[in-house]
Amino acid sequence: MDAALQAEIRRALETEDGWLLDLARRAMAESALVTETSDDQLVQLVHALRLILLEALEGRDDTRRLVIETAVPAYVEAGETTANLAGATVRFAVLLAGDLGERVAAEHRLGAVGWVASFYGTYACETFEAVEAAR
Amino acid sequence: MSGLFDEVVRRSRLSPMLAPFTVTRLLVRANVDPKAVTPEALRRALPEFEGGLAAYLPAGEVEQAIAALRELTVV
Repeated sequence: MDAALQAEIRRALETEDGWLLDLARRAMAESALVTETSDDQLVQLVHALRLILLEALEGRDDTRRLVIETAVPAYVEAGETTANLAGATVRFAVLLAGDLGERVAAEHRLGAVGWVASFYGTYACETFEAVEAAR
Repeated sequence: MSGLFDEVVRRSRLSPMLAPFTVTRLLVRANVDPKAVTPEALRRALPEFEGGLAAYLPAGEVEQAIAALRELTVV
């Protein structure tokens, strides 16, 4: 990845003005999930997502592995359907691409959106492999 | 699961839905059987909890959770 793009995405992700939590609340508000996600839980999931994204910028996946091993089976056991989880994942990915794209310099916008697409392509595969394994 | 496991879940500061799965995973990573966790085994697992809880919690909350969990290791 281009170093300038990487730095720009990092700067946006590390800006803790609540934008990622706001994004998550918007995603959940329109979600079809049958399980209730409390705001406290959403805060914890967003904390994890920020770490996952920052680690992904460095080619690491420590937090991602733990979250997939814990949050995915938690939602599955709570009765969530694969279809609903897929819908929520796509909703998050598209909102993240849009919001992150708006938060980086204009010359890095397409690069940031492409990075989110690439990241979520991998993340979604891993997530749904875990969903299958948990059923 | 044991009463101690339930207490670890309660003191983890994780949301009720995430906590049992995360505590189980962190104990397993520390080679501790979640169904038979003891104060001594929990003590050995605390380093795993320090790293793992940080996935979901900010540093200050991790410190508070670890302090609360450490109390359970005193017999």
